[in-house]
Amino acid sequence: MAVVRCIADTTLDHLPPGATLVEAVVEVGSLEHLEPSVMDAAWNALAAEPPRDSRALAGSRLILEAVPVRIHCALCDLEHTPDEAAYLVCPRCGATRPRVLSGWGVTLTRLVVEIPDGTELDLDPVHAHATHTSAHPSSVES
Amino acid sequence: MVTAEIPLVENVLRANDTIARENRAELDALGVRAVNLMGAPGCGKTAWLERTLEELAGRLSVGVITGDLTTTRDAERLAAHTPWVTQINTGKGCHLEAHQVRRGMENLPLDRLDILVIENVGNLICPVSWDLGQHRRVGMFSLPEGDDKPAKHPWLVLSADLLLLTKTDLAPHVPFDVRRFHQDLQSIREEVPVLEVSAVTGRGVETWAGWLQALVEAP
Repeated sequence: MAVVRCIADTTLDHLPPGATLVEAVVEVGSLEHLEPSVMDAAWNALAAEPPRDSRALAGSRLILEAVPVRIHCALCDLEHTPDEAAYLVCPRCGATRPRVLSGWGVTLTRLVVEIPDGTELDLDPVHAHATHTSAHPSSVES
Repeated sequence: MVTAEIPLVENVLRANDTIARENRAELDALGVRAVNLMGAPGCGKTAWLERTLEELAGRLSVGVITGDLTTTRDAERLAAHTPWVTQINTGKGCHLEAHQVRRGMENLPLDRLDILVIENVGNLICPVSWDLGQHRRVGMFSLPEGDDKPAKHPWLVLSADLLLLTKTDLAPHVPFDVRRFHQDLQSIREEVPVLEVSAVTGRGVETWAGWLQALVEAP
């Protein structure tokens, strides 16, 4: 729930004035051991709460994209994806000094929003390449 | 209505990480070293802290922030050994977060402390992901949990600066293959520092106290 609340807070930080959230897309490292069904339920519970400001999350979806674990072996330089996170032995040379290249972290990567016709998005530099994708949310691919 | 897409690259835990950095900076400014103690429920975190506080009495000033879902029982136990203890109740939260530690720090006279021990909520998984502003992470496994716990929880092993194997006085009474335990640890992390301890017999407490002393004296 704590992570989902962080996602909601970050989403609201970046939601432009006047926009309604359709989807928040988040990359989740597999090492975080976050259960998608639990996160989905937590998001729905948060979205059902009264809005903390004028921008509500009601009706929006949380889209999770799993980031697989990638391990680098310092001894033989092999990069690999372990079959099971518990097995950290290099499959090529047997070394046991794994360096985790990816698999940690929770990163908000995209917001899909609805804005009234004719509204100009007042975006800060991080939003500068926002693009209009559809005239109707049903045609937005998740 | 039109639909727009806003690309981002935003670490959603950044708020926690920012507060954690602030916690660490404040502790650094006051010369306090913080240790984040992580282990399963019942692994003996509080009992080991009680023994630690007895050992360090008159040597180091130790404050404790202890996290639990409910009750103040751990804080009450520790209050018999130090006046500087504060309880954080997390409700349904399975780990402590930096803002909760910040609140705990506000309840303690940091300028009088050498060490701040943060006893995390009993959990081997989530606490690994949350920076609290500590200087060292200490992971705990206990004999009754079984010798397979390092293999099942490698990320605690990888993240810890020191591991404690607790309740070693129970060795005659519980099935626990110490050799397998250490083999699994070394398969995950070749040079992992492990200290075998017992709050009942005091095994390892002098070495542990020396580790804390060295942490305080480190530049």
